[in-house]
Amino acid sequence: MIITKTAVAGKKTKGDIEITIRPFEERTISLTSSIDKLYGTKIKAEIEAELDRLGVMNASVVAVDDGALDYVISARVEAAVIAASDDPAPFKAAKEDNAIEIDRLRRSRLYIPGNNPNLFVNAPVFGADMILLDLEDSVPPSEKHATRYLVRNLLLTGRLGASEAAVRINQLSGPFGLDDIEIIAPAGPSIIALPKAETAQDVRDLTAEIERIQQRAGTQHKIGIMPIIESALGVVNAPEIASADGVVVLAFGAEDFTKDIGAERTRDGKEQLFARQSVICAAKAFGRLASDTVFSDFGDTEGLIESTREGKALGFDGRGLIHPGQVAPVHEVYTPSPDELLFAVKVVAAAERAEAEGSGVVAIGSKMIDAPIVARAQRVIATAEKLAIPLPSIEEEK
Amino acid sequence: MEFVKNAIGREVPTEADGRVLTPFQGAFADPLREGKRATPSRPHSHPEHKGGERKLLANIKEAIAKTGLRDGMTISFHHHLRNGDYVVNMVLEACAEMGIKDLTIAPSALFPVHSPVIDHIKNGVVRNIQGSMNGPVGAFVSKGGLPTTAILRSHGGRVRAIEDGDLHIDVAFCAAPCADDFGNANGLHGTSACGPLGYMQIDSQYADKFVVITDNLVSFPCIPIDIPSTHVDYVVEVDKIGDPSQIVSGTTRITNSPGRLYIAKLAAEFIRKSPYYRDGWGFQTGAGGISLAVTKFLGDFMREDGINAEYINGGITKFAVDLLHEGITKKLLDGQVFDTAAIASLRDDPMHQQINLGMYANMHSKGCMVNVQDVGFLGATEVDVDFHVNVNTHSDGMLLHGIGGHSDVSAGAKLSMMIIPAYRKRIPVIRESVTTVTTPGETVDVIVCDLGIAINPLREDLIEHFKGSKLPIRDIRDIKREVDEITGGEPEQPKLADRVIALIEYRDGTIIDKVMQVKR
Repeated sequence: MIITKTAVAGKKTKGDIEITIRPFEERTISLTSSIDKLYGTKIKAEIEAELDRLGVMNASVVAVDDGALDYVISARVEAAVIAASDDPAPFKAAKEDNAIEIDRLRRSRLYIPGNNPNLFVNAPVFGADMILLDLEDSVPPSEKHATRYLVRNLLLTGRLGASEAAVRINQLSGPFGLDDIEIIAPAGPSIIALPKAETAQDVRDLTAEIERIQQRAGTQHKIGIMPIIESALGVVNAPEIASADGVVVLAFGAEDFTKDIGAERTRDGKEQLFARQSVICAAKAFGRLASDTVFSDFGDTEGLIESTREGKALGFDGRGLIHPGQVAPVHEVYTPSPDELLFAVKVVAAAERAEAEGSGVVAIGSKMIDAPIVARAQRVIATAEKLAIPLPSIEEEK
Repeated sequence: MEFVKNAIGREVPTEADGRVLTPFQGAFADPLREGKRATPSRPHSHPEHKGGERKLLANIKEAIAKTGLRDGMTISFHHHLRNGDYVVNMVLEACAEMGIKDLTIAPSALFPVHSPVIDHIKNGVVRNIQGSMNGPVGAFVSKGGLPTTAILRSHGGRVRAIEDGDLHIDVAFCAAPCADDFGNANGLHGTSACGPLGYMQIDSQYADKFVVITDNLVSFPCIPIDIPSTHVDYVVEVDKIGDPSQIVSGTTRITNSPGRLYIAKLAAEFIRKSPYYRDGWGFQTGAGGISLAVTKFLGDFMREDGINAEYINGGITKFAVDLLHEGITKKLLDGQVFDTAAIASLRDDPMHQQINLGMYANMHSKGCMVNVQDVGFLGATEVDVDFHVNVNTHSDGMLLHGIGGHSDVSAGAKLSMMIIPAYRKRIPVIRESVTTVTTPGETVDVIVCDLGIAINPLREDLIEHFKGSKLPIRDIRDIKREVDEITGGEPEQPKLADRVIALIEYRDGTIIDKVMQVKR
């Protein structure tokens, strides 16, 4: 690639590297690093390798490093080169098949800003069911371009522990969304989250775009879609959005929704109740999971637990989180309690007994059990099994 | 310098600055166990009206003159005032003005506030350092600034060296937050209160001359008596012995890094599942961010499980004090405190006992506290696949930290744990071979990091105990492979000059490793 102008990517903060690239008659690299003595040679080698891959011959590169890992270095170099050149960039190899596991727990979707590599370091140990790398609200417009490559490279390292990898792209109708998909889709996240989804067409557009890019890239892993309903129109159209092909989770975003309807967000959340129930109904009607909004005061654990319990009672399967400290309390709420589990086991046992006896009536003692209660009990047991929680024995009560 | 390979394969010198050295022979071999204790010169005193002299002197210079301090002697200090200490700098400044040269200083630790030591090395006042150093002085020594070879000792090792006669102290200067004009002193009262004076009690017994320097002269007798007048030659009153804001912190804060909290939780869960976690156990804690978090989690677990500790040993903070007040631990053993809550507790709580550093960790004693505790958890700058631990140098070879009680606690505790991040920035903390060995692998039982828990293969009993555990227990080499994959592999070797600038002395007095000069 021919470098025609100056461009900068990355920052001088911990775990990051700032790459400034300029047109120059030969290829030169000047490096300043807080760990120069220990890793200077390796950092330069990584920069060289990325410039080689991109075919950059004539450029001066100034790098200021504070302990960036290799995938960060290459992402920053790539972003700077692409911004500084008018040539098309060579395609970066996609990840091996990484098909989405549809049937998994999604008690938590933890947002991590996509533009700060230092926040990625501990991502594998946060224990969230889903890590949602954000390209949207937490990334200022000036960093949108570089952030895509950083998040894409992180996805390629696979270093998110047992968490499901998800990416929130920008809205497709805006200036960044299409480019986001272009870079992110080939790296095979499990889920792409679509903010401000308002119609089924929004989802279809996204799916079509993903397919087009995957075809070009020669990849075909399935990517699940998580539309985020955060406007009045989105709520009204929730059923058709939920019904669209590829949707796995329907998420609710309270902040934008309350703004959109001209209400104030209150602690007890009456203004959101209809919307949340609409999202739940739509999701459940089409066999999708429903995920509640974020709880934004990460210092208020009691409030978080209360609000999560309320969401669970409404029918949500999980919620959004903005801080790793919220993972444990939220998981606790969404993990079946011993009482819940015992009841579920009893219900399922009664149902099995009824079926074996050819009876249509399921009962525990003299209490009749309806079919939906049996279904819920089965879900509770499935959740416990996914979490490897031993099922209580009810032998002695027989 | 001639070198010999010690028991862990490190080349160490056989002699330095005229002292014959013994190579490390194993953590419990103790080749230097035979011999007599050192004896200080015999003191004498008379009542003032029968010709005895008044101990209270006008200033530090007068005290220096009266002690007979002269070129080539050894002086000592404690570090209870930490980065708030003024006394080391005041005494060295006075020595410089009086033209005294070639001193050996034997502080229990040095801090960034002591960077004027560098000037005193340059101007010839200080010729050698024995004890501990960190920050700027360590960096200066690393670059070859000291004309002699420094000796780093652990807390217990420093006491051992004094009592065994390896380190003779001519004059000890004791910063005292509270003292009377007859020399009785404590660290509990006054604006510069620092808690116990445990680091200085051994110096007060073995130094030929002992000078108390205070900014809080109280009427005789100063009570409680931590340093007794029987050990004190002179008393000097000064304006300020330190900056209170840097001596102890008002509030000790636990780490808020989710990654560090995860590691601490993992360590606490391992302890909870270990055979040592039971009613009546005792453990050691420190003031590092991760260590505080482990203490907090252990407190939560004990509350939940209805288990009480008999005692907590170590650097005491509000976290330990709260557990005492709650009854979750019955007693505190205190070598040093880190916050104001701990000082208040030491003053007021009868079951909060201060101990001196010999009692804490000297293995050439009839029994030190670290030898009986169940669990100790510690940090490290590096660990390696042989479980050796480095707390002294960074991976670039720079000598920037003292030993503290590291090798003492690790050898003494029934379960010694290193609690570390697997890498910092991109620098691996788990290495093929540590840059410097502070603590030998045979005394290190468990390494806990964000990528898992490794149990030392020597601890077959622990490995057996944890068979089938849900905790992420892995082979150390397996963890290291993952660290290398993330960080891009081992860093470059530091560029070293051909000169030994410091020795790492093991707690038994043998040499476990050396530190080479770093090329500029």
